[in-house]
Amino acid sequence: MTDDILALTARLAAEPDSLAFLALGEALRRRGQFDAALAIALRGLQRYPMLGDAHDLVARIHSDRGEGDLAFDAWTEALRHDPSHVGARRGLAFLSFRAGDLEWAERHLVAATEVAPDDPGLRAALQRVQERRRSLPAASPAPASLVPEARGSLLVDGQGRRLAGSLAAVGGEDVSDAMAGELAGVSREAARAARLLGFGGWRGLAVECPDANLHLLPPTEGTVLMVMAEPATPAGRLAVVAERGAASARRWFERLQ
Amino acid sequence: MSTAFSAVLDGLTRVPGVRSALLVAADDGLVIAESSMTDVEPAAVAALAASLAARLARAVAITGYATPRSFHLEATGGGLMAAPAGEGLLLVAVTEPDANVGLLRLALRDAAERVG
Repeated sequence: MTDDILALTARLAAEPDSLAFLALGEALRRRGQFDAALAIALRGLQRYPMLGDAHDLVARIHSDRGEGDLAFDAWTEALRHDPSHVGARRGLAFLSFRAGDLEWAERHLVAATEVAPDDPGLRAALQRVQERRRSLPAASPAPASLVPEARGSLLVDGQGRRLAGSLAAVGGEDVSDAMAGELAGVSREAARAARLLGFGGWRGLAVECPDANLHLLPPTEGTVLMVMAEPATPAGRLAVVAERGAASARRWFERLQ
Repeated sequence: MSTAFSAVLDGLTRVPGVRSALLVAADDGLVIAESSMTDVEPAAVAALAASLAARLARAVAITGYATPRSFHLEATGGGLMAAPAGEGLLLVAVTEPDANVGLLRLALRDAAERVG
């Protein structure tokens, strides 16, 4: 064990409520001691569950271990607690870029450079992504663009990862990734309720709120499409719009395969 | 079951296609009152409806919009419609696949106001 890790370990032992776990976890991660780093990070996260830096550390460890899904979840959590977290934006941009989703890679990098405009690494990454986007032919239209009546729409896989679409909160901030994670849970809950009550598969979930109406449905097994509309949109019309979006999503999946 | 709750729930079960109606504690998913015309287990309906309502509320909260005032889960062999009814309560109706959803939505909203 190196001196700095020994010192950080001693400091954390003396002050277990301190934020020393961040530095210790990071030091262990940099040395490739991922299991130990993760154990330290998760213990710290238990004490500071709302700390964006703690989620960011967990995400970077998962990313180093090749666990992209877990890294995605942790960075999304970091952003939920701290929407201006540059590290989480950078990480999500990296995952999006690796998955070929250049649009979202650019979105995350643009958001990060707004917070840290002088970061040369971010600016270079953004430039690379933008050049790459310009050099590619237009992608297949995502289902979101085929739901023009909607205030927002999201297509999500069973693990809470966004496949297409976007959603803005009341204040205008992008909540697509955070909502995607929740929608996967809602979808599982809907499927569970329908199954346990002996109703078979679920076909739709209409949600009426004072400021918006939502309609959820599963275009394919394991995915969920959510369409959000103005509260004045009749529930029946929204169901039709959502079904049209689901049909587009199914065609989109077929083209991807 | 109190007479007031009984009247509200009986009113819901008179909507065409409604199999049963329940008043549920939203926090723990326990049945407070029920008016059932079928063999669907009320405790299971209550727990599942409360759990789904909590999930939906959490999802909607991310957008900053206000808590849902009703939801309708539609499945191949039936459905659930629910609406918050006063502090910590949830009115739930179990429906046939061909229930008159539009009528039930209005009846549920009216019933929720009476309970609240």
